[in-house]
Amino acid sequence: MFVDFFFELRKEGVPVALNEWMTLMEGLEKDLAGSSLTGFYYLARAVLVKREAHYDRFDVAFARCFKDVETTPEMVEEALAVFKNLELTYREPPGYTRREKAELPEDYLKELAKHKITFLQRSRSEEETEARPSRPFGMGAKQPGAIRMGGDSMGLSALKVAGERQFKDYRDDLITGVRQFEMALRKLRQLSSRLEGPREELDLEETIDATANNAGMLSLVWDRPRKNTIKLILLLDSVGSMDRHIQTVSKLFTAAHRTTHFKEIKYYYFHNCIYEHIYKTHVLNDANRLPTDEFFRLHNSEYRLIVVGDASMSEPELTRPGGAVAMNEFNKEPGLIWLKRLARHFPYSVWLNPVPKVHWGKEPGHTTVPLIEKVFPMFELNPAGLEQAVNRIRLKNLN
Amino acid sequence: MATEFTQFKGTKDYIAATELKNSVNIAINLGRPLLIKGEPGTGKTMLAKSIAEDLGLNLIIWSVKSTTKAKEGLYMYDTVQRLYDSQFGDRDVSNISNYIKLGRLGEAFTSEQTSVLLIDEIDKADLEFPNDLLWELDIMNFYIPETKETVSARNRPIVIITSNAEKELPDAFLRRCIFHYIDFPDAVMMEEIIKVHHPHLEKTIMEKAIQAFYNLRNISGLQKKPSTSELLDWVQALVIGGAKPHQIVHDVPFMGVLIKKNEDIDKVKRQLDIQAGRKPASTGSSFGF
Repeated sequence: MFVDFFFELRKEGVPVALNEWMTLMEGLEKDLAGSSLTGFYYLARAVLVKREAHYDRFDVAFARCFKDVETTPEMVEEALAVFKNLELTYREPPGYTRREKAELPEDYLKELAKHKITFLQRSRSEEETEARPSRPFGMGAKQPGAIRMGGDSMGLSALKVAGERQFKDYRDDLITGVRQFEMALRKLRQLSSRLEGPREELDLEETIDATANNAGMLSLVWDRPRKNTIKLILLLDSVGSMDRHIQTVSKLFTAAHRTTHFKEIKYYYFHNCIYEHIYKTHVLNDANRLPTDEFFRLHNSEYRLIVVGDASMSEPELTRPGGAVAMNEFNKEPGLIWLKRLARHFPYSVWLNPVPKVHWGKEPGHTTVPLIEKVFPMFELNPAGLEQAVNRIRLKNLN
Repeated sequence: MATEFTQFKGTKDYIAATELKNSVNIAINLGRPLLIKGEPGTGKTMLAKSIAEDLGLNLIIWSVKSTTKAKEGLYMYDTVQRLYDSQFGDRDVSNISNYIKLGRLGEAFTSEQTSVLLIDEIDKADLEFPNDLLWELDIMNFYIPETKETVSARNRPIVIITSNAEKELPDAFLRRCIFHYIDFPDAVMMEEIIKVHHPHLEKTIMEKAIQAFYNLRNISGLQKKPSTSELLDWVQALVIGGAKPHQIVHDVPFMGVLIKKNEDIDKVKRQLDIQAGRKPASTGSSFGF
């Protein structure tokens, strides 16, 4: 049954390894589960699951594996009925090791009779009060021959906890955290030559040379640490159909803001597609307009460009002059020309799309995605996609 | 018979959920590091203090920063000092061990008594940091090549590691840890936590504060949800400021203690106005289609 659980977990996508499984066995041997299903649930979860995102998968697998193991109230009733009519004949109590059996009191029957009376009294008094002192029955019972009643030592039964699936919201296919974006952005770096900044790193080679030249008198040589020289531009599609992606985009935005290791990072905005103007803030009005040519003049091709947008619009917006959807914009050239111009100006550039890849080019409303994919290398806006994008942006685009 | 094992029960100023105590005991008895994750303000760091206090052990804290290297936790060899000393002949430079200083992990290994070692916010350090500590945490010893010494743990320390992050710890490292995610406390638990810090708080204020707090946390789309420690500060503010119970839920006085970001404050105010049936104050809207 336990081995089934191992495979059930793996099937559900909890990456359990053999050494973790051995740790679980070690825990069971040390009786850390307290011989109860609930104890086992928490022990197994602590040992086998290493990400809160996997708690839910664990719950699902656990419930499937052990659903028939639970002691239902009816079973307790049944057991109680049997127990009340129990004939006091000696029967070897199941589930004990030989050593434990040897320790069973001689007058086991007498003990059992005593327990029976206490049990009946206790079961009556427990109906009246919630408080349960240490008892010869149930989970707390440690002495051999005591009767274990199935465990609810932790208030909630394991299957109830598993069934509640309270960690559903933590599944990683639902969560994309700022932190993960930060992790991906961190990989975007290009180290500087040692030309500027304070000298604060001990240069060992030079120190040895200098000391030797100085007839063995110590002479320390310090050097400048290297720094990241990446300059980054984020160009964000900010209104209209992007509103539904605002959570994801703002996570990327926050991550980029927190990342301090870039030499420079700049933000610009556009609506659906890029034409003669882009915008300096997310409020896309005339006051914030910046001619796209001016934008090109301000930023040379050294800047890395990340465009964030759903690339979803009506086709004329891309292919026809005057296709721009904004009322304060009339484009003499089609949007696609502008996009190509943008891609040529910034040879190190990628497009991040918050729309899941399965919809690209297929679902109505996303038919323009493949057109733009031909211009920019496009990745899904999620931690994995950003990581791929960061790897891709190191390479020059060829168009 | 069940073996007797070390039992952590929580301390009077730290309320630990049964699940958490359970995980702590599993980690202690299996001799594995316990990795604690959870939202900021759920008391991850406090846990180590509480364990040390409850079991009567000394606590060694290693606060990890973005520049921390794994080796610093083991030992530091002060080459430059030794070179200087060799020049001026101040100290005996032939004895390298004079220039070896043990780090926090080294301290925990050599301590006479079992200690609780807290490696706080391990995710702040470089990506490779956890992997660099694998061997030392597993085998509980390390080698100092400069002095040809091996430092082994006299008493295996209880290692508690905290992390705020979501995905970056390497698999090999995770496999060796016992993991526990501190879920955000529910209202009943929260009441106990507040009682510990503010034992004489009026019942009405307590109820209203908790109600207001969970109300705020349930507003979707906040960039930073208020946490337990912020709630405790806020309760303090309510007591000092003498807030009226009936204001607490709808007006949320001293909101700045709970909500720190401007966008969040605007959002919360709008929501509170809607809940109270007031006309929401207009905020600037952006231009778009």
